[in-house]
Amino acid sequence: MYESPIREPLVTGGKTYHNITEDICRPIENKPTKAWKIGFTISAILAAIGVYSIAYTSFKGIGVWGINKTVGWAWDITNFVWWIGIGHAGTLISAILLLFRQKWRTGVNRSAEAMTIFAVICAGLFPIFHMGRVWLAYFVFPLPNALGSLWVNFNSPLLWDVFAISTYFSVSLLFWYIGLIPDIATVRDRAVGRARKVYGVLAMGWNGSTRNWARYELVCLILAGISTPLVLSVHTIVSMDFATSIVPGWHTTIFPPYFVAGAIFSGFGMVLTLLLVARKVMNYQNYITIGHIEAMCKVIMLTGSLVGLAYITEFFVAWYSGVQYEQYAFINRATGPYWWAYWSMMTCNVIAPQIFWSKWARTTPWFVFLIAAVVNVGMWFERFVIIVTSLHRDYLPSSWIDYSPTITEIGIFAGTLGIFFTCYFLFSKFLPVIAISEVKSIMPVPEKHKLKDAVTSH
Amino acid sequence: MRKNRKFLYGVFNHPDDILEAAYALRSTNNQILDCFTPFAVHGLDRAMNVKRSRLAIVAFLMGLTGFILAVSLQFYTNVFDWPMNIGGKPAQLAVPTFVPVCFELTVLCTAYGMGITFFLRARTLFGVRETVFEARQSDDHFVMCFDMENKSLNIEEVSSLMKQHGAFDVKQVEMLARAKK
Repeated sequence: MYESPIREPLVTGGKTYHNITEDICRPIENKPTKAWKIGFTISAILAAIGVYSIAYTSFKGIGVWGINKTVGWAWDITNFVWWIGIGHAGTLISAILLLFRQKWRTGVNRSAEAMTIFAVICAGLFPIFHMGRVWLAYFVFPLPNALGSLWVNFNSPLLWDVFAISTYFSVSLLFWYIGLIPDIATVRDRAVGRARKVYGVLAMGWNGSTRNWARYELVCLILAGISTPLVLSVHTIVSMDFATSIVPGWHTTIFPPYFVAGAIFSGFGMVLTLLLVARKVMNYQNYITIGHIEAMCKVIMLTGSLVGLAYITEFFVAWYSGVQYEQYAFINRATGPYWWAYWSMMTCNVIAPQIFWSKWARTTPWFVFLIAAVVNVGMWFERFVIIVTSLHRDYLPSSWIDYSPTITEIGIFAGTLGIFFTCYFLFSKFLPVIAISEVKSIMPVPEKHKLKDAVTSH
Repeated sequence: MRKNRKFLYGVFNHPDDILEAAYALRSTNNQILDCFTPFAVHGLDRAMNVKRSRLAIVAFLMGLTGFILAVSLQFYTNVFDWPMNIGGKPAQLAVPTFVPVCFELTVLCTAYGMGITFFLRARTLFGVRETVFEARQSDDHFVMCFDMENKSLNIEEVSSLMKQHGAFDVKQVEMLARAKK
């Protein structure tokens, strides 16, 4: 039970327990709204474009992409790192904030965790289809085979990535599903007919027994405890894909913390983008309050500043190292052919979030939405800048080349956005988007007289 | 075994009420079978003398298994079966580069080992039928349940105690349920 005379309540509007159940189950029990149908259709069309582009790539080979011998990693890895980063906010909210006992996370953790899972699915598509012969993708796993003793190389960060991303996806999925079970049981107990059967299977016989609640809370705590280093390790390993190479602009020890901060930064941008729409469309202003939005804006401001610090440090170290290749890489970023990407990144990631020092900016939803979108664009440019501008000027000037994406690559990226939003729309229609049982446990204790109506209406 | 069993249960509508009732019942000779609440009511497990779960130990052992698995896998493939010579450096036991995979497999085995044990222990599995006394026990009602086959149960005393602590309904029911002690 949580009530403090100083802090604002985390659930407003004088809700009772029953009100919470009603409010959060309403979108599941009612027919989909017009807004939902329009959004779902647009997302599904985008997803279909993505499926087509991916199929085209698989049949024709990755020659249909704009990558070449010098710029061998470009749009695809940019998108991979971008999506993985977006996923990180979900784990930060559900795991790290649980360990820090930040109770406001209960209003937003379910959506954020769902976002993690969908984002990791989108991310995983890029390296898998960059392999070209995707039907041999299982070769990334250390499987016994008939090619002599051909094992994977455990010294390679790319292989660490395979383990990190697959572990991250699996653990996030488990954490999300265990969190969902009590809420699915709530939906089940209200449902009739076929829905009751389906939710009955999904709820796995959960009945809210005290013994199970004790186990459940322990399991969630331990999962949070292991997910916290896990989420940090995932982006650390992603950054090592670059940092362990000898490419100027990649070969830096600052990459792991810099990438983790950037991941959380972009992830919170996406959480805000989704939740600001969801709270408006689904009328969840009492659960995702201005207080929640403000807290997330503060995280964006902090991580945005960390990312800005990393940019400046990188520049300084390039100068301080005295290595001319390193210095050229950074000057070329800011003034070379991709200067526009660099300055978009700087504006969106370093300057834009500083506006959140103003309380008005943090507490005005439409403005937060705008900045969150800017942050997402900026973080996409960050990855593009790191990857493409570091590669396109090789040691040998004869290999210098420029890169631009083909329509197929753009199609795949648009497609992952479509897949992500399609999944999110389905999730918001069929599963409770707010953790019902967790919100009930942190709301201000209802006065007993208010509960009288709950009894008589029964 | 599933069979028809008789239960006595009280329904509360405030977490504090069920908690007070559980504490009041501690001084009597009546054993609470279980409580069913829409969210974790902290302290209720202690009031019912529920033993601390040993899942944390399971988690540790599973993590250890994952770690050993990762070390053996990497040692066997990259050191024993096919030693990799990278740049002429001795790659016999590249310990630092084995760390990330050790960590990831430890986490993976901890999570799934503990998760699956939790599902088995809590008997939450796909297809398990739920024991629901009140449809709103997952909404806003808090159910305290007693086994009527328990000889030492004093029905009168329990009913009046629950009512005294705010139970708005006390019922007896015969239903199909798992025997859970």
